[in-house]
Amino acid sequence: MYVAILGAGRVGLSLASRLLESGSEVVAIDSDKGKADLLNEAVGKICILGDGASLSVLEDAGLSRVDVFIATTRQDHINLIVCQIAKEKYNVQTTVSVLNQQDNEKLFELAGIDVVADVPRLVIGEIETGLAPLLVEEV
Amino acid sequence: MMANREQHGSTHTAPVYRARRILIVGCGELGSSLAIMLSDSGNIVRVLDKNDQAFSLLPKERIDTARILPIIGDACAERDLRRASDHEPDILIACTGSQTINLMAGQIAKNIIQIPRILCVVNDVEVAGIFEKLGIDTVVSRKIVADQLFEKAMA
Repeated sequence: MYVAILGAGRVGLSLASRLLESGSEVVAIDSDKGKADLLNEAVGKICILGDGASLSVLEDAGLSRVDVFIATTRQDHINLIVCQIAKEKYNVQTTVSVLNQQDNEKLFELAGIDVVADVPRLVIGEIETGLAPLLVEEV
Repeated sequence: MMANREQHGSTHTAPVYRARRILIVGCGELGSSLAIMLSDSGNIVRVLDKNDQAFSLLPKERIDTARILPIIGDACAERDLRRASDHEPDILIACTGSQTINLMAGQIAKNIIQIPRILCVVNDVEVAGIFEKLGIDTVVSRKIVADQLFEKAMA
């Protein structure tokens, strides 16, 4: 499986290393040189330095043969638009995106993004699960 | 009253535009100039920007006379965009410096808030083509400048 990851932050980095361990071919894209360097040091030289919303950068990443595209930046507008470009222009089979603002969930759904990882909801869910035993005791 | 209006109409030579309600997203050089032009031609103009300092590009007199209404908010947050468009605009023009912000604001406006006309400024002809297919009207700023430079250079 060939996976492209947009964003070499904490999420992008751990995803890349897990996917590489499971035998996938991975490319990462980030416009921040510091983050790109960190990822390259940690998992090998797989990160392209550049703006993910630029088609020439996506070409460099070999997007037309990508099976799964995963957007992990902290900016929903970048995640959304680049996922849409991956789908519409490069016919990427599966698009996955981190969602930072819950407000935007409906739009991501309408845009046909296959998997949406709703960060606020995931965090709240974790906290609730963690708190549940304590809350039960109090009742 | 009607007759009176007709008389006025007959002496009018400048082109007459129907006043439109317009929401401009992004109060940079482009957004602010456009806001002034559109209010000059009698339209009802609102400008959304997340940074209130950006509104210093708008003439104070236009704001004081409510001909341009500045609104602070995030163009990519449905809540803010909805608040900015509670005057039911006929058209939204997204012209921030970021094409991804413009395209996202445009899609919230079109698909969720259902503003009738959407125009997004983008900086890549191919990206424009992709979103035109998805029903988003685009203007490629870079291309317009390049076309004009080309024409003048070749004249």
